[in-house]
Amino acid sequence: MKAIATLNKVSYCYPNAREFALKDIDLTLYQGEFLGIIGATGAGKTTLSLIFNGIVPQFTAEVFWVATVAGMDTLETPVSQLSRRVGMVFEDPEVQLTGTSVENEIAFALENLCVPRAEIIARIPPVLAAVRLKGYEKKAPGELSGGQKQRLAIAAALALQPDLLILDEPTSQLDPVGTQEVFSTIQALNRERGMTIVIISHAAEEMATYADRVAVLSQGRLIKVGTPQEVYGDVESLSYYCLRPPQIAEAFGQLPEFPYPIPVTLEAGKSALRSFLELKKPVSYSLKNTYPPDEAAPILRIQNLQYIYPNGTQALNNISLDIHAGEYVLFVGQNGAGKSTLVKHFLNLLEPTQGQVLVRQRPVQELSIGKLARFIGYVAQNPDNQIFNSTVFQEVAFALRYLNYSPRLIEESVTKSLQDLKLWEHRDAHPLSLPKGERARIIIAAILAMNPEIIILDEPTTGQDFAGACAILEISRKLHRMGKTVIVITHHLYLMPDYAERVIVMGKGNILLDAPTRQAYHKADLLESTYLSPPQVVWLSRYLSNLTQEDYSLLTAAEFASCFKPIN
Amino acid sequence: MLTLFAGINLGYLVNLLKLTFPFYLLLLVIMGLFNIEQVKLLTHKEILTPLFSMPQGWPIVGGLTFSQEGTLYGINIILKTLTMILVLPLCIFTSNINQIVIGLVRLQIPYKIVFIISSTLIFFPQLFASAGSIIEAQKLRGLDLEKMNLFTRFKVYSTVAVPLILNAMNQSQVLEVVLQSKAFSGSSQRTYLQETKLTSLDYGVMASSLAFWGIVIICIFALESENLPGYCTIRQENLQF
Repeated sequence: MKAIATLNKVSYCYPNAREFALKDIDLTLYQGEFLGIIGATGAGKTTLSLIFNGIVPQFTAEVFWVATVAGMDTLETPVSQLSRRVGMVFEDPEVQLTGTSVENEIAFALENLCVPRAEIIARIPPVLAAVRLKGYEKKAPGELSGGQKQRLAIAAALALQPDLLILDEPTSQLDPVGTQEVFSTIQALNRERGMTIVIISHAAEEMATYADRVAVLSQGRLIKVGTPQEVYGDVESLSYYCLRPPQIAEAFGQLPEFPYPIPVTLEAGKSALRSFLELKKPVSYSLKNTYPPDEAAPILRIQNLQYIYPNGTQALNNISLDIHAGEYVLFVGQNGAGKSTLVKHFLNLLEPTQGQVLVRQRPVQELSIGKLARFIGYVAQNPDNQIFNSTVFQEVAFALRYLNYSPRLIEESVTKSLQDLKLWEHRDAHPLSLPKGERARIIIAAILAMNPEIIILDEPTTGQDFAGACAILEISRKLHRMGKTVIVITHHLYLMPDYAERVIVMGKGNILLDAPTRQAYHKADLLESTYLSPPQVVWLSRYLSNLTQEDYSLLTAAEFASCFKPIN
Repeated sequence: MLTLFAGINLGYLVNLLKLTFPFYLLLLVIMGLFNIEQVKLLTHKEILTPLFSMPQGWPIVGGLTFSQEGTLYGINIILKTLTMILVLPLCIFTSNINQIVIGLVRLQIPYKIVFIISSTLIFFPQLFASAGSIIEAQKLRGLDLEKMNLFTRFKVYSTVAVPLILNAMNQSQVLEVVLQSKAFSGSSQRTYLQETKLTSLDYGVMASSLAFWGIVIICIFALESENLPGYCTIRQENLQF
């Protein structure tokens, strides 16, 4: 195989940083391969990706290495030349699009490289076809969906006719449809056109399916490079580096005495299950009903709610729903399904076109913003839009001062809230000096300081690594145990079965399904129809039910493993 | 008017007027009440025509007279600033940014500066959207801006700037990397996808506007000799508006 890029003892330290962002990285990239890079937040993944197009040593610092890409030394070749060979796609779909129309976006880099106009015009149609965006030439990037924006960014990179395409978490801000669009586009580029791909992603299931090799980074060091099987099959060491294995690997990893290598994709999992069944018979799984019917008056009642945006789009279509005190409810659905619009009505941020929302039998319109905030705590998506103060303590105390809390009460509630969220030792730090996971916790702490009855978390795990996501969900569990009503909006179905009791599936402004979690997750066809994919264990347990002619409605890897464990 | 005809969102104009209205009121009051000397000088009048007088007992404005000339002069200034403010949306919302970019480049303005202008135009709507979501986040913490007194409200509003600026700085760092990876160097040596060609219509518009301004300027000089400058400037502004 022909090497397309070689990194030889690459170390790098950002200016003013105390520790190396990368240390002694040796890595060879081969022509036509699909390499995945995984690692926890701060492991150096982005820095590594910027080495390939020479941007990183541009902010000079201590550099001592040899890195060659397509035969060029990245230290000596100007970035503009390297950028012809290396296409980059970044995480944030908004920031990376600088053009005013789709075709201008694609043309931008070519214009910078002084490619003649006729040549630019000739290059646009094939790259748009490659990402299936034909017919969008004149549209403004702002009009595209998240998945389309990322595909446009890929097209813009392809127009340079690079040898290598690097994608830095291209799907972490997308919904499942967008994620699927992007991965299938990349896969087609790799398989059909032989494009070399380097992708950084937390999406373990997709990486295991598509990547040829996976590299694990931790604290700037390259821990391991191997096939998905070698990397993801080693569940123990993954958890040591705070990484999430594909659910299939997690499920088989917990089986006692599993004699084969641990499968990492769903297909491999099915065949492994078939052979394992010949060795061992599963015990039948008794369902616990964890969903007690609630007779009390609901804490939140939505009656015939309809909402039409000023531009005429119908966002909510005659929705009626009761939420009872102490429930843990999950709202799932694609972007534009109406989840956030619905939740904004709970907080009186939008005025319904028809119908009403009752909070403890009172219409929300009757309550002041201050009162409502003390009753319903809503943690919005981007924590960085919600930080106004220079210390963590002040941030949490911020709203309380304006809500006429006495100084003593402020002190008490802030202290309690910070301790509950394990932020007490950071109380004097600047919120933005903390990592993203902790910033999200600060916002949760600020909301909890008001001691609301209902807590709504809007996409709390987006942009978080596995450890960060788990920490936040653990908080939600704790709140639920304290008797609070918890509502979570998310795309990440696989994270939720341990937490949620009730799932509400939304699509195009309607409620498609409202059922206990186990039932909802096993309505796989309905979920698929709205492009949500149930976790791999659900598919595996359906397969198990098929093979054994017994009903296994399993939700988690632990439940799957328990079917094969001797009963104590 | 022209701005309205060009199909610009009425709500946007109303917001703009709402925002500038206090300043205009202030201008009018100052011109009507206080700016006596300058108005006298401009109109070559010894005594100004009074419209009404303020009661003696009022602080600051007590006993002052609101003059007709001062009011006219105030309206004149307001129209002048309005023209400037309204020309901008007329220009930006009705033209394709790409066309503006190429037009500017052909005027020999360095590409670096042109790029700054064009990315500002793209950046502003994003900035407003993010300011909106920050204010929403404050509401979610129970801050009811409508019920606060002016001083506290101002204090809370000022905190919006913190995430706004920090986010913008963060984004600009990302943008730097993005631009580098797209071979952007700021050099004017580059090619363009779009082409602007001036059609006969464009030449016609340019010629007629030149002619129009020529006539206006001649009128001003002609009228000035008749010692009616105040009237003349007002007329001129009305024409523009």
